[in-house]
Amino acid sequence: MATLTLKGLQKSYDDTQVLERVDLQVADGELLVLVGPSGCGKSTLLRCIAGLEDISDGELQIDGQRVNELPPRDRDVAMVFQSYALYPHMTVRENMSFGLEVRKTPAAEIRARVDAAAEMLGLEELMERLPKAMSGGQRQRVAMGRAIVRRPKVFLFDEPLSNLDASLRGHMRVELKRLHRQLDATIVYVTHDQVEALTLADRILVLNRGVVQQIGSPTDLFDRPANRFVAGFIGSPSMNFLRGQGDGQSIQLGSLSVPSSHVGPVCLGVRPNEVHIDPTGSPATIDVIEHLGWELHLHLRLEDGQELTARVETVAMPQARAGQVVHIVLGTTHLFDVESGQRLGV
Amino acid sequence: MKRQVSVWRLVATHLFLVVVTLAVLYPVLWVLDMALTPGQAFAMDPIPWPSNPSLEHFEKVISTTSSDGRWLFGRQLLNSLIVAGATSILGIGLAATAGYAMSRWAFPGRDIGMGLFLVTQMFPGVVMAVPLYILLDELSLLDSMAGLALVYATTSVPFCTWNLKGYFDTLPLELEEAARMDGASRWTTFWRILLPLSKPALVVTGLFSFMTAWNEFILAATFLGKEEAFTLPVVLNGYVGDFGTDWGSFAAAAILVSLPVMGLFFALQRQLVEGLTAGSVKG
Repeated sequence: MATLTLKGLQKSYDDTQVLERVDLQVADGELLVLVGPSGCGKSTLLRCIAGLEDISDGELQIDGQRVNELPPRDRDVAMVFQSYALYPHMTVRENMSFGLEVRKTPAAEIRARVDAAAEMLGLEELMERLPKAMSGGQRQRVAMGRAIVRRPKVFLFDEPLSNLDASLRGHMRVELKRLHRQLDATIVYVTHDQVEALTLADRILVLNRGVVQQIGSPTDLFDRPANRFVAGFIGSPSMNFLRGQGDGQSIQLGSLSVPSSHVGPVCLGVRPNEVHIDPTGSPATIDVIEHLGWELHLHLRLEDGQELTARVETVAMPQARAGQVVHIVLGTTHLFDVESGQRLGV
Repeated sequence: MKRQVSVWRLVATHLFLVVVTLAVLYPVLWVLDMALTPGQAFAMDPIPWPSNPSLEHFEKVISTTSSDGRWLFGRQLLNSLIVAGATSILGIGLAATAGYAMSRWAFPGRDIGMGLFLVTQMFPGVVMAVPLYILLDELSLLDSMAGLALVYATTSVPFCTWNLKGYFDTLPLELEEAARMDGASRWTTFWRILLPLSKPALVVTGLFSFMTAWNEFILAATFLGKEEAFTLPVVLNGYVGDFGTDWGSFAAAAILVSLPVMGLFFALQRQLVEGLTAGSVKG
């Protein structure tokens, strides 16, 4: 296993800048998740690390050695593709052996490594099957097996679970987590699914329009988002953003008031689970109710017309209905600059 | 009531299909009738069924010998096989690599090149007969299988390149990227991943090249002067003379010429159907 270092890495196509000065250090054995909306450049960053895209500027190091100019085969990285990219005419065993064969690995060693990976992934019964005779989850495991047998320095995963249904995705997430622990591998994992990011990652890098927004642990990102983008992107349902005015004592949002020393206009962020129903609070009207079994998402409208979402347990409000007026207080809040969207205060 | 209607429909459909099949097969049956009927008369009987079937025409065609007593038909059959086989191999070999390059790399002149390839397909072969004759003569390739195969390849390579490029375009780029990540070179990726996956397209393209060369008459008749160098279509033409036609031998030879192609079609029909529909839907 190895470390991965990106120093001011940039990527552009003609005049379009896709990645802007990405600095990153991935520790040995760390699982780093690249997350961001579609088109933010996360897959491009992964492909730059893989060697499938040229790096326009900056430096990429694996184990301290510059690899910018090396082709994919000499970087000693393995990649699991979104579409699995299994060779359709080859059996599972042939798919997993191919990478070792082209590297002239002795046949006995190929067999041993492939058998070990198959056992680890529960593929023993499927070794002579063609990809078309397997389910999505099985194909996904073969794609991972193909990477594992190579014993690369770094594993790259490009949205590997996005083609699976929700239940299988949950199952594979757990398998991936277990696999990471078993292999103790350095992994860079791309996803647009924040649940995947939060559950799998040691650290998360949030990208937007090719610019790194924040790098940190899942808890860091959730509890102390660096800006409005991260705050809105991480967490489901998304954080509420409200316009307020600070007078040095508190921030006023219509009839709602939050203690703060901030002076002037501000964007106040509050997660839906920090919007509490409290008879002593300020009035808000229920606009729409989403029933999610054990919890409700209440879409509320404040007296000044601003909207926000509250997340409450169903048992706490079994009779909730649209049009009803409830009273709310806000728990933990985050302040963001109105212009730049950057986090204010500590 | 409903069931009765569907039975009538079924009968009508089958009747229609039988009539169409007979219409298609009628000329073939007529040729078969002529080939199996002794004598050299042109069959005038509307029912193409030999009254006194005999294989004498086939024996005559097959046992044709040259003036020095050597077996001519075998030699000419071999000529056709060599020319058609060489054209296919040359066509597939060059077109697969060219089609791959055209499909995967954007280089200056690619689109113009593909356009010019298409233009070459618009001229009938006979237009090129004279310049090609002069070229072959300069290269001492008249009356040679190599010369003829080269000439046929000039028309088959552009078509094959278009065909194979179209197929390569449908193969996901991620497969190649996966192979690159696995450590495969460009050539290994092409040879071990792309080509096996392109089997249906290769079969169709190869069969097209083979048939083009196998059936071609005008250029072969122009470039081949010696009887030992003839391909089968030229031989077939030999039965049509200025003062009379040996219809029996002509029909028998026509059937013999068709047999190898029919055999190929039967052997490759599964891949052929796959190839003709390949890429039509995302699989």
